[in-house]
Amino acid sequence: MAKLRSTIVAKMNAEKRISYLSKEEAYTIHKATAVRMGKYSREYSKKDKASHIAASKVLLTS
Amino acid sequence: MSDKQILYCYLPISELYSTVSEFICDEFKFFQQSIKSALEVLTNLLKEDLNFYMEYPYVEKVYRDSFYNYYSTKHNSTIRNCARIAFFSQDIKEKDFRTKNSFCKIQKNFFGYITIRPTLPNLIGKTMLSPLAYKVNPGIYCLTKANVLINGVRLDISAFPHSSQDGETITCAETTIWSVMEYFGLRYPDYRPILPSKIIAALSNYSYERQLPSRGLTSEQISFALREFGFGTRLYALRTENGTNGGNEAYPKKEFKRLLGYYIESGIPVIAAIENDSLGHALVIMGRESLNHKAIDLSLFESQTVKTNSGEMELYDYVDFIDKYIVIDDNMPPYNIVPFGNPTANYNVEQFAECKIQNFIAPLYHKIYLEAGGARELMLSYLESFEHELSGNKIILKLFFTSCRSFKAELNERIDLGFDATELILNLAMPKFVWVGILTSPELLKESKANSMVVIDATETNIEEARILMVSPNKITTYDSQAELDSKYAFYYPEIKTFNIFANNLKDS
Repeated sequence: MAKLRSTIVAKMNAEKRISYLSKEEAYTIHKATAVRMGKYSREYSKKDKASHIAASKVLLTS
Repeated sequence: MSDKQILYCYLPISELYSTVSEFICDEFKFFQQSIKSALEVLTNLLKEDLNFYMEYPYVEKVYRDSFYNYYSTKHNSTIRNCARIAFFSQDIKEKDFRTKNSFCKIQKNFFGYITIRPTLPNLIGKTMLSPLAYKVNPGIYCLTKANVLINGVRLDISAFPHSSQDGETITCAETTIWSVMEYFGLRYPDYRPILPSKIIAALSNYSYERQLPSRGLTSEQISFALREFGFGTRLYALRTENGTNGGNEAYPKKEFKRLLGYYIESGIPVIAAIENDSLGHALVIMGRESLNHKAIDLSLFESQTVKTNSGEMELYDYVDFIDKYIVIDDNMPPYNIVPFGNPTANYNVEQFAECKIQNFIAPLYHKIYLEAGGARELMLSYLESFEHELSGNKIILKLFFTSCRSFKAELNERIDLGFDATELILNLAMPKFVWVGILTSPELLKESKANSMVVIDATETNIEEARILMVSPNKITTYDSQAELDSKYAFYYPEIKTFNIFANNLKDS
């Protein structure tokens, strides 16, 4: 295992070209994303159900 | 082994109709005119400097399956053999087929084949024809490679499988399933080409009436069959204005068209159900018109306002620029190019007038859990949450999914993001499939270039676990849900160049 490495990350780390988002800011993003995706999911469920009803109605034969 | 000989001819395409019409009269005992309209439409599209090699008898597997499972059970005797017609450029002479040194030249000048089957009124059976056989090659397509033996020479052909319906064992609905399975089966080891009897068997537990002669299938049954064959299918229906067919809460037109576009951009052929007041029909959408990026006029398209940390931006969807799609329609020759709003534009039959795409089925790899709409929404959420330093206030989003293999190969071979940035992304552990959103400005798009992208794990629907990669003009952002709380989001600052837009999902021939 000692021979395995990720040179690019080590190089950028040494050059101080990597930084991290604080956990407070990360949580804010996380929360905003969760709210948005929750809303999308509810809308999506309705469309999904309607799609299945519509897709069972017409015989494709021509 | 019988002493029966294969009958053949090698002639210029100008003699195609006379040869085939005489053949169906002599061998199938059909009226010569039975093939006229189908061949006329096809030959009008084909290049004029082609030769054809016609052979009979030819065992066409799809028809032979229908023959043994249906036609042979009738009182009337039906012929079990087909004829095959392969197309070559006129540079190929008949003697080349027996000259080893000419085999490479034959390969370069081979454009695929059609088969003629004894099933009135639709005589054209399994077809593997390259778009290069056509006078005009207007689009980019999903194509698969098949290997065939023509006149003793093994040849490869890149094409999308096509067949007309025989109207008894396969209608348009079964034909689309066969065509999609043939495409995936030839292209990926996870799937297998299937025959009509397998489609019937797959649907036997989901049918409330006899299955033969076929009366067609609903979109739901098509989706069910594809799932039985190993796909994780998704079904999308268009919202209907009057709420007919339960569609009043389904997808609004703009969203519906975009979703279809995202799958086509991903190189996924979709099965579309088209309807008007009197009929329902199924076809495969497997490509789109080529876009001239320099000629796109943004003022003609509607944008969506996105509030980012660096201000409001007008977001345009790349798939909105696409009006025409390329379809495999069993009533038309392959690669029929049609507007999204009028998929039967090339029909001359009144019965098909004013058909609209009402729903479509996307046959997805079963481990792609995040579907197109969710991927777009997640991308917009991240766009709004971060500082992307995009220039100007107009951005264009090109959304598609791809395998990690294709993404990394394309990144390394063609994209040219800059050494450190490429190295960083190539060394990231990635899921098997990713959704990629390429972001570009109107100016960069004219050069088919971009300066940002968002990459999302397509195998994750729980956003708390989703891994994200974002490339902005000045930094690369990664999100790792399993990292420590204060290092979940990492920012890397390599030199990042404007890069070539990904274009490996659809091919021009």
